[in-house]
Amino acid sequence: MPVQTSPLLRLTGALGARAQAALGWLRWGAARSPVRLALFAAVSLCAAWVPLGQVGAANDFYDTHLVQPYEEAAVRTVLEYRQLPLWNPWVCGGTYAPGGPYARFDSPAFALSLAFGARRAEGLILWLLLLLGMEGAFRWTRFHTGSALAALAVAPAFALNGFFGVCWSLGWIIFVGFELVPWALLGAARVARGEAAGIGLLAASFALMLGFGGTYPVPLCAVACALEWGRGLWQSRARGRWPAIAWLSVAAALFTAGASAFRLWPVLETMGAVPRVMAGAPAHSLEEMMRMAFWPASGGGGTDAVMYVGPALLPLAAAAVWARRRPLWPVAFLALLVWLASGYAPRPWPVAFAYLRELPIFGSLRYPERFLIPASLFFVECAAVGLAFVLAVARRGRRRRAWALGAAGMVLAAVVNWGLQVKEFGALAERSTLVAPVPRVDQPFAQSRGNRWAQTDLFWINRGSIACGEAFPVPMSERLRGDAPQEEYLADATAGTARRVLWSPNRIDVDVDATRPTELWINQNWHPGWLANVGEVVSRDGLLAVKLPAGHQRVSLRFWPRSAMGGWAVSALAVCLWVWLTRRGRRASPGQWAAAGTVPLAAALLIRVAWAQGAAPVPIRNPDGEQVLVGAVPANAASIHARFDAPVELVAAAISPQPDPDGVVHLDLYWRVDGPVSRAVGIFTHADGPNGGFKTADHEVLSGTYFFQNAPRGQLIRDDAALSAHDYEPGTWTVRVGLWNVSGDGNRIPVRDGAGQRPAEDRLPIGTFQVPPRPDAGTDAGGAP
Amino acid sequence: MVGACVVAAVVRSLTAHAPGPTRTLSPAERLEVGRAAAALEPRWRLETVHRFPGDCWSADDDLGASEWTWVREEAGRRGVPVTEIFRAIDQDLHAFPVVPPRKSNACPCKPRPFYG
Repeated sequence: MPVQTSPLLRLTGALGARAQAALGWLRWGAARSPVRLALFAAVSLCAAWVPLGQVGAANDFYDTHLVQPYEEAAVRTVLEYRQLPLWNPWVCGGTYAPGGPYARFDSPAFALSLAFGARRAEGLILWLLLLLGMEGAFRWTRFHTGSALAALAVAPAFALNGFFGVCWSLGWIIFVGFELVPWALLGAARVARGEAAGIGLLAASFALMLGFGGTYPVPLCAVACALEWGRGLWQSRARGRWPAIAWLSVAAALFTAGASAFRLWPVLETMGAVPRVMAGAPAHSLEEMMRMAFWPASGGGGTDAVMYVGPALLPLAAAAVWARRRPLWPVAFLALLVWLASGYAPRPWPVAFAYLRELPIFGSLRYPERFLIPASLFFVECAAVGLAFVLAVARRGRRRRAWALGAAGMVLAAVVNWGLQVKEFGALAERSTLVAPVPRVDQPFAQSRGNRWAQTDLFWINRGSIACGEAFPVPMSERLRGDAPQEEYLADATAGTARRVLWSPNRIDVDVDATRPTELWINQNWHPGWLANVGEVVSRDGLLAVKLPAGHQRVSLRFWPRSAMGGWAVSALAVCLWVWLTRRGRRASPGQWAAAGTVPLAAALLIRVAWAQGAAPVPIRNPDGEQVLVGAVPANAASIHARFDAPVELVAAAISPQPDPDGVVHLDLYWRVDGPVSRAVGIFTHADGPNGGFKTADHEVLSGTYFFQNAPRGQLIRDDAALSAHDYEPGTWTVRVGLWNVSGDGNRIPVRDGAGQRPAEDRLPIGTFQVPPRPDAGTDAGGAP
Repeated sequence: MVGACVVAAVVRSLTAHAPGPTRTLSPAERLEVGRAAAALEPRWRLETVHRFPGDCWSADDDLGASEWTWVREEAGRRGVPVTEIFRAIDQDLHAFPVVPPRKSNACPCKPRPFYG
């Protein structure tokens, strides 16, 4: 007698059977690269559709004018001058191009810029990087879950992160290099499991990320790789292969440094000479970060959706709780990275981001929320684990058809998530500030005073912009002029004549007729990479100059920087060694890998010793242009000799007795630091005026240059501050200063004055200034000139 | 399929178009625009001094922001690309003596450690 079943069960059974069949097909497709890549290419194209349609217009957001000229200049240098993009005369009065962290021409994507133009190539590069990010996330997720279908379903969630849409709209395409993070993690994972194949993957990922520019992808990826490597090492602990893994890990680090040397060397050289100082205590609550990741851009403003990964993966991640192998590692990593991303948000436990900032390079990071990008990868892994678990039960467990229905529903949810992300990606990309592209004007190159807010516009009229808005103190000469009658001239105009014969970014020829020894000055910044066929290249307050003998000569200047040339040589050597060892296969032992990895490093050291050339130094100055380190307290400063409950002494202070003609009161504080001080310590400066008037000039960084933590020990540091007093109440104002914890508890640091007394509220009075009565109370001093 | 996507991306990229003004300023207009910018600069400078007292680079940078806003407005008023306005300012700086508080140079880059 046939078994009676309900219609609902029959329907479930039928649907379940179809779901099983569909899942079978999907598994088949996910495991095949051509099918999978076609799908990823199509999804990436949907996301990049809006950006691709915008490349006919120019992005006018001011950060674009910071980043874009590097690529435009590199394209022009290669195509029109047939030179390598080494020197960029259009930016900041001339800069060392590979040393700038925002240059992205040292990557394969530059070929697209050469072929299509820098702006039109951006859309194509974005699309390709999205595709690369999806495939990388797929491979890494499959590596950990073993399920191709689960990896396929969740991988786009990483690659379509809302951050990349934001990057597009703000002209930060360099940060789309984050798409290479899963490839680097896969490399680290394989190295930590004793697979030499991971070395190439890790090294190539970092080299590409560095070549593509940006200050965040590499250090944040390094953190994620360290976590991934630690996981791999732990999971390999029972195999007794730790010595081999240790050698391979050393080799991976060495080959990564070697392969990246072409860019790593110039960037480290530049940034080492001119460290980027980043203060502030950015903070993000958990709620804000949840909105960044799961809330649509259209639902609110501010930071909503800026890290969008979509909410439809949440049920998949939740399902991982029931998985046989629970995703403890990715959950732990996710928690750690979210903790870092929260920055200085108030909480009962320590600030992880503050600890990270103690490390070199990480101290210059401003935006902790970007840790949510690698975090999203571990979130994606959790979702993949959940889905893989349900898929496995649907294949091998009881009630397979019902589970197959559930699995199909989860896959459908993942696909819906793709759609949500594509929609948000487009919405974020549409925030771009688009303007019509400006026509090019062909005229001989000259420096203009320029405008960093429109640097790209000036590039198109072949004008360099002395006005510079880089994120680090660029080595710049104060002698640069935006009104020079000619760009190459003699320092002493009566000594003869100079006439430009040839101009290009990396080579300048000038005919000089000199009646006596003189100097040829070029209206560009000096760099030690500049060489001349005659005379001696020198720096004149940072200006490029050549000391010349008397007579007629054709002076030929060319730019040939050690770190770029040496870096490329080291990288080429590293690649050759990697190819050789890879061809040897298993015959190459881990020890040999490590030994070979030292060769590029040795080559770099050899080049460094044999080719004496450093970086252009940057004078350490206050924001007002005055020296920071001084030998003695000047006569106009009053002795203070106050000591704080930290190894800091306020030695003296000088206050202008009244506002200058512009209405500004200048304060000079002379500090001495004798020991370790927390980075959190900053200066408060209060001005107490008549009738309860109160103004501040607080600052966290001494002279805009040093935190107390890294201030030179035992030296006298002149710290310049100023108050705009044009609208202050007339009368006597008393200035009080002190130290406080800018982050953390926010408390003031106790202080004792020169007589050993503790001032009220730990505010040290250092002097007064007088605001005179306004001659015309009805006139706004900030209005008419 | 991947090839079709490549073709679609390239075609979309190459056909994206944003027409803009192509008119150029006459020499007389260029002179006029350059003089107008020169006349405005002292006021911009004074405003920047109070926004960033004692901070040379920030004050210059803030002046750049004021100039940038004006350049865009002026380009819109005159129906020319922004580059025409920048050319006018550049030519004015070369053609006339630069009298303080106007400057023909810029303070070396020293970005602020904190952006609030």
